[in-house]
Amino acid sequence: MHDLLGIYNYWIYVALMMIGFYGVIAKGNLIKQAISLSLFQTAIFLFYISMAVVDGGTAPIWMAEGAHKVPDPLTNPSPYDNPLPHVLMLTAIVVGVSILAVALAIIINIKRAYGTIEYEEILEIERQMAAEELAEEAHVHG
Amino acid sequence: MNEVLLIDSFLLLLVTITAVAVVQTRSLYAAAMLSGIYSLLMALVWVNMHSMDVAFTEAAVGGGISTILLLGTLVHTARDEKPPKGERKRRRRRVRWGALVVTFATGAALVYGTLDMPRFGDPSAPIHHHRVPEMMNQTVAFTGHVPGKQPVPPGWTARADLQLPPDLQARFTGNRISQLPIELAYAKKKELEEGHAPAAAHDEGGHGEDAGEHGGAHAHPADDFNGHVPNTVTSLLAAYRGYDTMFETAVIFTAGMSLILLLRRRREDDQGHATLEDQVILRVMCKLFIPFILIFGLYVISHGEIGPGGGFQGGVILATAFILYALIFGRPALQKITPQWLTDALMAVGVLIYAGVGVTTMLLGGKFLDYARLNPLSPGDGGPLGMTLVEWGVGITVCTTMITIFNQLAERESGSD
Amino acid sequence: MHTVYLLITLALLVGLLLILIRAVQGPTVYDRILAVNAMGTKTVILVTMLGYVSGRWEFIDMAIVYALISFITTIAILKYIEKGRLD
Repeated sequence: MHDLLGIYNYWIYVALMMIGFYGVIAKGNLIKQAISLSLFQTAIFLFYISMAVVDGGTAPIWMAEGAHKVPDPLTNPSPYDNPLPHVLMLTAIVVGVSILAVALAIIINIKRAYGTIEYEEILEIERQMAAEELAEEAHVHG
Repeated sequence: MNEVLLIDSFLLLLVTITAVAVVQTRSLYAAAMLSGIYSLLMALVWVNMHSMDVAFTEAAVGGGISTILLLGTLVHTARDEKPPKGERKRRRRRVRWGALVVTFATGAALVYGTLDMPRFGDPSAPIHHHRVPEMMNQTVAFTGHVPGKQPVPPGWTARADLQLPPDLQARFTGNRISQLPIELAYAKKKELEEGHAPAAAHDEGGHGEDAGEHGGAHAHPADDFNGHVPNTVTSLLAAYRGYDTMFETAVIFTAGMSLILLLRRRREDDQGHATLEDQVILRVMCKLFIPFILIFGLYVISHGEIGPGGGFQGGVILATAFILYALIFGRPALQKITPQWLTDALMAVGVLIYAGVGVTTMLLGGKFLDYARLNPLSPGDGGPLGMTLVEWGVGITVCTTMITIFNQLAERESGSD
Repeated sequence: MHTVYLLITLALLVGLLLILIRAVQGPTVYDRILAVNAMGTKTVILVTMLGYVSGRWEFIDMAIVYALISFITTIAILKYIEKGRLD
């Protein structure tokens, strides 16, 4: 039972990641895809930060004198959770919002150009445009 | 079962429900709101796992900025997702079986991978034994008790060779170079690197009391982390991974630039705007609120090395104050106080401050971003100084980039409706 | 005392579940707005309680950020509904 609960977090991370993945590949709406992509990212953050936890650990900010637990090298390498994954994910979140912003800007431009943000409709317009171009070319050469 | 796991399992259940709802809902508007809730819940998960800086960032960025950006995009596009063609007639949700199969197969492979993971919170997991113990035993910042700083925690012994600076008088007479503490520190570092390297290779973890004395794994000197501050996350962010953070700041700057290139029009003609100025309560509340938000943002940036927070979080909080102003008084009012040329310039200035600190340390004789050089009298205090400067650079870039992104996304062209 | 804090936290979590159901179900936009707002308030209290459970003062800073962010998000959502634009 304890073992199962021990990897519960990792299963949730897989579940969230797959929900985001399904959204990216199955949804036709571009904004929905952008949101799903950020779900996918958050799942990765969850994976990293779950790894950082130490039993009985506390936030990796040094406490004032008195409230301090002395580390025991055998059972507890430090009284604090591991700060390294936190740092990796902290910058990843801000980069994630930059990615979202650029994606949204591209979506706005797509809407201006095609008048729609549905993937299938964009493809259809593209196909029509290609067909028209071909017909025009045939007309010129013919 | 400990309390962290108990609360964690409950919260993750809520998170999963929200994630399913986000993907499944047809209304994009509801999806934006639900993704805001999702971020808030996720931030709670991280608070519960004691990852304060990440929770800070997620709450400010995911819960605040992302939701506002999504709403700003919805203004330009559509409020609802169109159902796929087959579905419009049948009125039933179409499940994409191909996608579902791929998803489940990938998920099964990942779950198989998790079976080998160390259990949640296992102190003997490899991640807690490589480099981190040495880092947690750093004492470089604590060269003496400086008022206003956190005292040396018990269990960490200050290093004898990094005591308070020698007498000022002594510095100008005789062999002053070798008397500077920084030179002593570097001499000691070299000695440690050469002398203790074979012994350190055996002691893989390098934890315990020895770590202060010799380098631990890979014969890294103990003060390799460039000065330590009470918030180990900031210490890692600005010193250990300093180059990486610099380039991540550059990534944010690039995102702001892309937004300008993608969406900014040449000619600024009046597009009209909407204000909430007629709402008396809102207007008065915001006028009262904004100074406090600004002060809080500045506090978070400059307090980053002592408590949770730092440039990324503080920058976003500062930006939300400006966004709030734009929401209430309209975007033209915001552009009066933060003109375009100013935000454009400050975006670059932040990155330049970061790189400038690195170049300064090089000119002072150290390596790039070697903060100890900033304060030759007491190298340990150079760390906090350098980190604060760097955090300010990050904060300026993040704040102005977020304002730029909001400006570009929220602006509505007159043609569309 | 520690157990009491833990129990309060769990009770708040159950409240969070109820709000979440309202947010997911809808049916109107206003239900969701209220849910987002209530969620923000509950989160502030929860963060403070978690701070008590683990005994760190730093959590208070975080609670302030949550209060701030949920306030601004709510205003943005309401402006979008009423005016149809954010600028």
